[in-house]
Amino acid sequence: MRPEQWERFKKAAKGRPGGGTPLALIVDSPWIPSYLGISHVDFFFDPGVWFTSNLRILEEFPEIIFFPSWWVEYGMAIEPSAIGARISFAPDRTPNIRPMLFHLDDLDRLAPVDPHTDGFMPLALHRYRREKDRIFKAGYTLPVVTARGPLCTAAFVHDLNRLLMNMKEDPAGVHRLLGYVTEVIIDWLKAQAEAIGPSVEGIFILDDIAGFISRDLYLEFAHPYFKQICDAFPAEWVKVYHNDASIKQFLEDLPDTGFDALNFSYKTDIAEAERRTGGRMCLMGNVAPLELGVRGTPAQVHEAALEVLRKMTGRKHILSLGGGVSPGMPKANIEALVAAVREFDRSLVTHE
Amino acid sequence: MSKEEEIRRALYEQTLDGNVKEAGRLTDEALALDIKPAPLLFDVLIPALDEVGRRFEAGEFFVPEMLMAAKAMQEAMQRLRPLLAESGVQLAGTILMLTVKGDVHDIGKNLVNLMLEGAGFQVIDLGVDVAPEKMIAAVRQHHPAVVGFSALLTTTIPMFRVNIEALQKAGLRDQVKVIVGGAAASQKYADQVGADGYAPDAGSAVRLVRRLVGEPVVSPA
Repeated sequence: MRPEQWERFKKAAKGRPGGGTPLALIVDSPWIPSYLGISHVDFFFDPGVWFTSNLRILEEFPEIIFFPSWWVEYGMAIEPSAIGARISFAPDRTPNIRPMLFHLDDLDRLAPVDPHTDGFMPLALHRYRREKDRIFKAGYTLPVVTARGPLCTAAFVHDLNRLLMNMKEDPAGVHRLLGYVTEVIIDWLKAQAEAIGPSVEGIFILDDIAGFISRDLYLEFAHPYFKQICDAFPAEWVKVYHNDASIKQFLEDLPDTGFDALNFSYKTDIAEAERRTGGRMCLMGNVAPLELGVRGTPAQVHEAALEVLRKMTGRKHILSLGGGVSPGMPKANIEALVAAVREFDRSLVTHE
Repeated sequence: MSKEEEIRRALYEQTLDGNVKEAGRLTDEALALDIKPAPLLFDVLIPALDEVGRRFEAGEFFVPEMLMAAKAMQEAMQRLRPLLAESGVQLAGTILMLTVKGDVHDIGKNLVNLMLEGAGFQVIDLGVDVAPEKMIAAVRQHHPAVVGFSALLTTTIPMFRVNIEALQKAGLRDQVKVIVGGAAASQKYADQVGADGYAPDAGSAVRLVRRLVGEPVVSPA
């Protein structure tokens, strides 16, 4: 994204007046390589391909804020790789991650993670250091550092079913694991911020696994760790949380974590989410990414976007999909989102 | 309330609550009282699992509660399975599960596996990124009643149709029911590709399999 786009995003996320409703889409490796017709391996491992791919997308859709801007990622593998999970790559998809922490007792044998030396973290840091000047010179900025959340990371290293069952059978062990991965995540975010420099003013945490658990389990196993992550960064930074699984069970609790903005599934009505978060979060969403983004017509996407915009008029809102851009979302449907924002802005001006 | 009724009720509750040890202990106690294994399965455990599915759909249960209930049911089934076989009751309904070629996501599939096993079905899991040829070989080897395909991605969901065509080409389509699921799937898509059923979650998948092939027990052997 460009610096002025970040200013707009920041303003909306913090609920400051002015600037209109931004249109921001979360894009990453599930979508970019297939959209551009390149291999995932080239996108992940060739810095030149990564740079030009991002640039092509940004130049093709200049009105869209691509969030979190230029993002070095290897699917969901960076955090688990640093802890020790096996990562298997294939030419045409994001990597597979296999758990390695079969017993929570083995956690004691895991050494602390150093983001400068462990797994894919140093590769990503190196990419940011090498490419940031080229990104800035091209007129873009790097305002946000990103990590998978504590439950997501714990599920990758310990196995999801095992993690969820151990919440019932070995809650103390799960807390030890979550304490460990939360430290890893905070250190990883800080290392990225240090590598990129002063342009960083925000964090982006992706964690769907919180959507699989009840409110009681959320309050015990998710909320405190989310809060710990948010508290580790300056209050004025923008903190964005993505979860496109279920959020209904803990919507009222989410603002207390410290996240400013929430990207969530279309399965929760955005007006209900606004009411239940008490207007304390900026809602980033929530046009259906798969059913409409990929399978819908441009007219359907356009209408759904207008409906979301109407519901959120005068509220803290960033128009987006209810999740990231899904593989296969065509250009015409992305353009339909842009057209909807233009039409909505025109209607506001006319109305005023 | 009779001792037998008390144990049956407790087993139902403990299975529902996902209390694995208690489910095992109560099954042992029931068997010691000479309660027959088939009624324990049909009248206690399967209704408990039905209630788990109902509560999940109602938003009263979430994935951990569902997993623990399935685990408790498995604990009971470990004890009942050999006795059911001995008493001339044969467990039926082998289910072959896989994530389609090109897709490595298995969270939903694994949950469905656990629930099906808990419900008394034999599950053969071929894992992720499974090529049609491997699926065909497994159908020939294991003769499943149902084959389940999972796909998370819009880029991999076309493999549902490819797999179904492979079954047709191999002359096996009439011998198996095909169910599909995963984030990219829908009832509409299942109908389009000619699947026999679609389930949006693990509880529904168990009900779907039972609707397609009947209860997991047939008698006599």
